[in-house]
Amino acid sequence: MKPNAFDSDSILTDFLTDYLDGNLNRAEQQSFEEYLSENEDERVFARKAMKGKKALARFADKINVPSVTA
Amino acid sequence: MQAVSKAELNKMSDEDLMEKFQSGYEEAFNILVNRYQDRLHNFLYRYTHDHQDCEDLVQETFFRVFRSRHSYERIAKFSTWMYTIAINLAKSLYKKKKRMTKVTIHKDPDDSEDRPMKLEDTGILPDDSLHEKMCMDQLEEALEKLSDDFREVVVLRDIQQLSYEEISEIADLPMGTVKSRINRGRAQLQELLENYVYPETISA
Repeated sequence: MKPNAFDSDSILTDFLTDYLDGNLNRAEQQSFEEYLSENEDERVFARKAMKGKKALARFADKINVPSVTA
Repeated sequence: MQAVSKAELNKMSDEDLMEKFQSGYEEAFNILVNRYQDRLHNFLYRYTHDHQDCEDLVQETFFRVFRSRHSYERIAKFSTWMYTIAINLAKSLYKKKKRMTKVTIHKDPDDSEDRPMKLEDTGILPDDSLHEKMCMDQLEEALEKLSDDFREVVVLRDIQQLSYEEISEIADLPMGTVKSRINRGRAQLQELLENYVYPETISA
């Protein structure tokens, strides 16, 4: 996998993490998506991370991890 | 000590149960075992890929929780504390197994009776279920191919659904490293899955 800006920039990593978790507000999401649209390596990486996260969510459903009341 | 019913214990948080256990309610420990044994087994399987090893590790983890109950302090979430014990045990087992000499029994080419056994396939599934199972098998395989560093945090986050703070404590890593490894692990996993579907596009 190609190195990209997420490897060296912790703020961008935080942005991506919140983006994938759905924790960005509308304005933040818009500016992050603008950033991705202008940076191909980062866009490809973010898309792969998102798809990987979805695949893992399906997997977690299938193996039926019991929910825990904390 | 005021008596607490099993129904009341069942409604308690993990941390409250640990307090009850520390004050002598062994039933509280049994409830914690019931809450976590399957979850812990699933988690440890990502490390060991062996159900028997997992069972032993789950048992050992709970034994240590039992034995060390008085060293637990409420400043940590119970699950974080327990996962830390489990990970340390899994890592020790891995190191121990690496040191063991492997012995393989090869098929004897000179013995005509020594041939592979044919077993009836009882696992034939309808198309949809089969496809689903294949996808899950590929996912499982891809997960196994991830490096330990990535797999550990991805499993804790996306399968065990722990918070970043808990993962940071369990893996003993700064938060930034945890987040970065999770994202990279997810992206690598997706790349591996794409390679199953389009093997000709494998990138270096």
